[in-house]
Amino acid sequence: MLSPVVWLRDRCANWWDRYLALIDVAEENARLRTELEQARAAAILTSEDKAELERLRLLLGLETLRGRPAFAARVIAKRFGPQAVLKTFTINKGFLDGATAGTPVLTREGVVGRVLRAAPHAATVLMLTDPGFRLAVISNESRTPGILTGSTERRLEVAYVAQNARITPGETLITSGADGSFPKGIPVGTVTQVMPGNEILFLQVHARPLVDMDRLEEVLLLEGKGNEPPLPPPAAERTEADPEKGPPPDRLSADPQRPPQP
Amino acid sequence: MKSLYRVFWWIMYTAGAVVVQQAVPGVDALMPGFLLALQEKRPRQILVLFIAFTLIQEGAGSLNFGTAVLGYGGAVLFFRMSHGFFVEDNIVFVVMLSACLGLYHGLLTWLMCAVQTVPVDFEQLVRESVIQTLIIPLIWGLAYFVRPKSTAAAAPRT
Repeated sequence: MLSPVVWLRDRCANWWDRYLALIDVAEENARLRTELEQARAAAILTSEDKAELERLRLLLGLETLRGRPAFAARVIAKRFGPQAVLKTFTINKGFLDGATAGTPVLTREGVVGRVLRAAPHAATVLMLTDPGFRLAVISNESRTPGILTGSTERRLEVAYVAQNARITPGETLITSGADGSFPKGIPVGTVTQVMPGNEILFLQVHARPLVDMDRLEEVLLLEGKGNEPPLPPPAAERTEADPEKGPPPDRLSADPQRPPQP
Repeated sequence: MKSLYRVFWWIMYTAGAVVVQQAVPGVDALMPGFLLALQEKRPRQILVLFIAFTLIQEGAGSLNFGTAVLGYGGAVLFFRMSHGFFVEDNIVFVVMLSACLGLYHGLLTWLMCAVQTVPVDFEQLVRESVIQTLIIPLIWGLAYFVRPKSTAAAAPRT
């Protein structure tokens, strides 16, 4: 009985949607064309900015993530056994493949953790969410520095954030590069909560990781720089050394261009 | 031939326990097998399993060496202390022993973490100790019934 009524209603609705409701389409089309042109112009400008940034980075000798050698590894095991107290997982690359202790581990989304210990062809990675993990970070907007730690709950905490810092929820935390192993600028997490801390000096800042730690399958390892020798002393400091005795012997041996003086 | 079959049986048990441990993090699925070996009272078998299970757990764990040795050593101690009072292949005995081992697992992990200055997630530790307590009788029961009686019956009884 109702089928003719339903058919008629559907026809009317169809006619309305196809013809009468499309009056503003031409106007919307023109507006979208304008927006597309603007986006194309912005993309050209951005590509110019990017090229300029790369040139300036090369000019200044700044380290970039792209310049660091990296290699991929597959996650072969998660927490396993009664003594798996730390939040770790195992990958199929070991110290013979370049995965030494301290090597940064990341994914496309951001930081995952660092290699805790390595066997010849496997390594254990300490996750960002472990309470024992520490990483120097900085917020991307207010440029507030802090030390990111994991916690026993499913969140991250940022320690040593000054009470007068202007950090706000929603900001992205990136690596600051201050720890010497992670290059600067890798996304780590998002600030979720900022509260006055129990201590007088520091804010209590909570964050959540950008990487879903439960769904890790492949990770990227950056070849670490922790074993490299320290930077050579500045030239001014060398000249301050006693000219008769010469510079200290350790610095002399670190500088291959200058043989040790008798 | 029997000894070969026993070796095969323990290899299969270990493989199954590893799968269980992978599925349920923080649980020792090899412990019920070790209790079964203690009940069978074959010193060589106990020694081999002690070494093998210790190496597996120590290698997979994230604490420094020694926790698994203390864990399986504690199991031997609890077994020796209580086997005089109960029939060893009784499920009540295994349930009581698993309760002791679950508690021991929590205390030992907490102690070793404190010694090694590793932060402990107490909620997770308690949860895993309870699961450990519940899972030992289950796996032990399954292994006890699956294990061929001719192999088990060969063990001397007290």
